[in-house]
Amino acid sequence: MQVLHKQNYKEVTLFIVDDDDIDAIALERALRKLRLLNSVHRARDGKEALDLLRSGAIPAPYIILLDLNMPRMNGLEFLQALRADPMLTHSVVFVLTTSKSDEDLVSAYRKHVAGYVLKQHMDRDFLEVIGLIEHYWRLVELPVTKE
Amino acid sequence: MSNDAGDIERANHRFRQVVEAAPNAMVMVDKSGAIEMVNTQTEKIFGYSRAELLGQTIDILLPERFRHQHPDHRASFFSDLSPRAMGAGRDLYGRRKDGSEFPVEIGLNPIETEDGIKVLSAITDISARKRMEERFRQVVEAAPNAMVMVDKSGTIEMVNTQAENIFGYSRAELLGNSVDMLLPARFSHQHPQHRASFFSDLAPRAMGAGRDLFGRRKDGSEFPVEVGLNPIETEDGTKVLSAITDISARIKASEHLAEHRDELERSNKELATFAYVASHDLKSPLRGIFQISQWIEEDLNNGDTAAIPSHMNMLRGRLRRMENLLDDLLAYSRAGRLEGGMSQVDLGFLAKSIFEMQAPPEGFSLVVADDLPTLNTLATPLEQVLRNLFTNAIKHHDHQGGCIKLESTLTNKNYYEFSVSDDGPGIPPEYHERVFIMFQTLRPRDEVEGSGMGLALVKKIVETYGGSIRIESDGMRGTSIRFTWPIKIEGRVTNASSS
Repeated sequence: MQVLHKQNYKEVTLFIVDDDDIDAIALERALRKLRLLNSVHRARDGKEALDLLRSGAIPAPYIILLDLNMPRMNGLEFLQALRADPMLTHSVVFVLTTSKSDEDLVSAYRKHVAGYVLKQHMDRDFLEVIGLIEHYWRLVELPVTKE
Repeated sequence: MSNDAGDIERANHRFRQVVEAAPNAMVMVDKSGAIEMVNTQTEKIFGYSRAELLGQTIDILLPERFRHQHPDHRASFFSDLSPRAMGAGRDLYGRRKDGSEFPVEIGLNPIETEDGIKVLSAITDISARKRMEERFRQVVEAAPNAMVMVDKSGTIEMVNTQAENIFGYSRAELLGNSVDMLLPARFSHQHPQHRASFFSDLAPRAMGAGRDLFGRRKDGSEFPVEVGLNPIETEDGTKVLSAITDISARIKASEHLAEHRDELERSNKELATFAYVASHDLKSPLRGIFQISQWIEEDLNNGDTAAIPSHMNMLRGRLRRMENLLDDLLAYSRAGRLEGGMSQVDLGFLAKSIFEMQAPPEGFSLVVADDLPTLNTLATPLEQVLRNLFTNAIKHHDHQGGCIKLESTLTNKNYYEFSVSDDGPGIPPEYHERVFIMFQTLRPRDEVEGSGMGLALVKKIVETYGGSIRIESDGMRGTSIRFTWPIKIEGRVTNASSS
């Protein structure tokens, strides 16, 4: 394990947009297991997520982990609104979903998601996903929202 | 005078030559009917030699059955001398030497001669033409569709048996009448114009391109038709022969087909939704259960038992959710199929008993309007609709108690409209459509347990019986769900849409 110098970068916020409590808990457990101390925020549907983002409640830089099937505003509708909003359009989004539908996959990439991850492998937990995202935020320069 | 005699002789000779050269049979008779002159054509068509004819009475060339009237006809011709066709309106026949008959056309010309007035008749054998006419008639008769021939003024001149069959008129009722009698009254005023324009530009074509055409039967009923028009040149001018096909059966068949196609599309769409939903909504509690079991295992291994009871709770919650989803999915797929029988339903009474059965939490009440009808209907699906609406009103209420109202808001001749209103949190207008979609919830299932099937099921049932459903709510307070229910249930409406 390499030693990280925290002062070199701003800690990334993980913003979980998922209506399922178990998935949210699982993500947090995975973070804890990997001893990651990033701050985690959560919205239960697209509408709540948009409200939180627009109110500035989610500290930048952040990575959005987005479920597709949600009440009120689903993941694809959320992406549509996100990309249409000049303040939020550059947000980095990973889709985390059970939907294997090609239509969903294509629609998500058309909205410029950073990755489309299937959470269908029940045995692999979220460790892999969080591992991937951890590498991602360490290597990749994330956009910082200007005031 | 010998000069005169010579002139007359020459004139007579010329006359004979002209008669001889005529293309049809020429026979000259005197007042008594005695044959004075014939030409070669006469010998040919009647089979007699000139010698056999000269001096004989003209009756020899007539079928025996006409001979007795002939002197009268001849007398009347001599009393009013002018060239004309013989036997207007009657069929005329000649008789050959061998006794056989053949149809003829005869022109009569009075001729003044020195020995008095003679009649020169020009006789044409029209067997060939008659045969053609007969053949045409047979072709028309044998046609598989109705055929009607009209003249320029629209008068019916010929019809076949099919025409009698599909219009319900006898031949005698049709012939000589205007073809307008075969059209619905609302079209007959335009028909003369259409007919005139057809006669001005004669070419075979289909009638009424792009329009739906209808025929009218004798009993006044209408039926859809296809009409092909053909101009026909005849001796008495241009006629139109129309071929008329009754296409009711074809239209019905294509409507049937369209219905089946819609039904198929609907059920395919439903299946696609089901597959999508099954892969997500049914799988997610399963994944949850798997995950929780892993956490419990991990926590046990770490000797950390504090969270185990809550995890166990969550686990059972997921199992219940899974079970509800499956139950509701089954109910949805059966909606409109398990309908029980027709029975007399006192709607107010039914509503109260459904409400009681749900054991609503304290503080909830149901108010039913006084004017609710008692109707003869399929009780089971109506009950399903009300039960789901009541459940929703109670489950999604944001206060400790609330009031649900059932009212009859409108009635027309086919439908009642009922409304179930509550004083809960309301549904914002932007979600009024979404809530009817399978498995759609407005709040996370972890907050309000629900399959998201209730309104989808209600909509499917209502539409199965031809009704419609809509939501009235400003999203601030209170929701009214209005749905229509048929006064007389005829059966399922196959093209109920699903979303």
